[in-house]
Amino acid sequence: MNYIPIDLIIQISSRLPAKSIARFRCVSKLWSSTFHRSYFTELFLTRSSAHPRLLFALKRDVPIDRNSEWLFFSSTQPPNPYGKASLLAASYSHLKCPEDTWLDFCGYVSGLICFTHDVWIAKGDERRVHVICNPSTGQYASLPSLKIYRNSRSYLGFDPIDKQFKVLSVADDGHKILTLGIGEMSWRKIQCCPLSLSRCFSQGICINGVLYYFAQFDGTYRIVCFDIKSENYKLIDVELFYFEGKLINYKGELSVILWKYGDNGTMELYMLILEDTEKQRTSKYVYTLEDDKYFDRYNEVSVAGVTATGAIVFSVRRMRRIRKPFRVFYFNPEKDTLQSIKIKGFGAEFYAWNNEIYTFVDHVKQLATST
Amino acid sequence: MSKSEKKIVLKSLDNEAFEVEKAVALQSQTIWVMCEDKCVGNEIPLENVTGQILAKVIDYCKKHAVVDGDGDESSEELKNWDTEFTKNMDQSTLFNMILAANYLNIKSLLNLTCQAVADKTKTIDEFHTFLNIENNFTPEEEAQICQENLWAFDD
Repeated sequence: MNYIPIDLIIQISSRLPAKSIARFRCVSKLWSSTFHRSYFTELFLTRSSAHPRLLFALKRDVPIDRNSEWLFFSSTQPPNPYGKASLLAASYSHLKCPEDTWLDFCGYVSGLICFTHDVWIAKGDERRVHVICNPSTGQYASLPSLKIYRNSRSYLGFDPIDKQFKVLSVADDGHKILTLGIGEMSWRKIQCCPLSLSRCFSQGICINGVLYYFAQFDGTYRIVCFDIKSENYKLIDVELFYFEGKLINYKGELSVILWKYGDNGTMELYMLILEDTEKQRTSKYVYTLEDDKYFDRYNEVSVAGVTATGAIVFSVRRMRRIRKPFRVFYFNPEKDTLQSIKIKGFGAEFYAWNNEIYTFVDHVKQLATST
Repeated sequence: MSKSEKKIVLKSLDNEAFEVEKAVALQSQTIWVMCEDKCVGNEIPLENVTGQILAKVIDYCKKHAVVDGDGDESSEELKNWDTEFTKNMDQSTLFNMILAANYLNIKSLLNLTCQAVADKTKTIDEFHTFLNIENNFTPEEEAQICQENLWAFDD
């Protein structure tokens, strides 16, 4: 057998599934440490980032076991806007919670998902446990519990410079942050948002190391920009109209998308692109729903995100026991086309559940985990 | 350009000679540099590659040269051809292809063959063969590290 130089072995290994890497850490001391080195985890992430995938997180509540289950699937993006109209999603991993644990989705960034689980201990003493999960491998870790107050919200952010994940908890009594990493993790208090007594009300989005979320301050509405690395805040003023929308990453820029059903089977799409805090660009698209039985007002269709090429992806949020294949929709605003894509591979039992489905457009496989 | 200038002869380790179009051979960055520097004549000796492997490398380069030039085959067809190309290669051939692609510096072929080996490496035993190494953990250490990565084994 020919001898293969180590740099080539590393090249080959960076193409393995995340689960195999973990398995092969047991092979020898050299490989255990090679696969833990940041050089390798970064190479792995770079390779995965070149081909972002669709990630589907399916939630199922199991009253009989008093817990919830999460199933993760992934598929490639459709090859081109007019290509095949169905894709096969491969099963990734399965997260079955212990008894009395109901995990709710909290945030997704750069390959990791944050879930929360609130525990009632006594009157006035409620705790929140954040669970960080790597859906590519099924690995997960619980963070130290945090006393919560009314209007507490949590966000997951990623700083691409130091390659650090942080969880931000915003509550009436102050802001706390936790850095994921090796060793003992703990929450620390940080400076609050410039305007006190804010109430945040949206899911966050993290773009290039900045976390964004909507917040209300004494009747005024703003977008809060929180820099994950420096832990500083900035505020953006936005027309009130857009606060019903969803924050998304439009080709690297923060945007708000708002969709409304109009008359005569049309859907109106409003998009606000914030190039920076000063410059704002608005676009409006009206799409006519041509007898598309899925894509109508009776299904909970929502924007999942935007692809690198600028296609806006919609997906159904809840299956409502309809025995029809799950679909995602690619809307191309420039060409005004809507492509419907069937996703196969969730398995038969999936359709019997009253599932909640979360779709992520730019999924990358992450090797580094929280612990 | 005369006919002879458009052709180039590649000579393998075991002295097998292959006459190929220059456009085909120039997909190799290594050969490209050699030709650019005019440090070789019309015959290029490749001391690291056997005739059996070189023949396969040339097949790959011919296929890809045609497509890049004429665009008469879709990228999907080319992808299918690539899949078929590596599908029936045994591990030793694949390793030699990787070494050849690395030496000749043909990026797309290196990507293809590395991916093919990665796709065929699933179990720990396969990984051991691939590395050609010995397990140097003590039984206690091995048990501990497998315990830490237990989640990776449950499918």
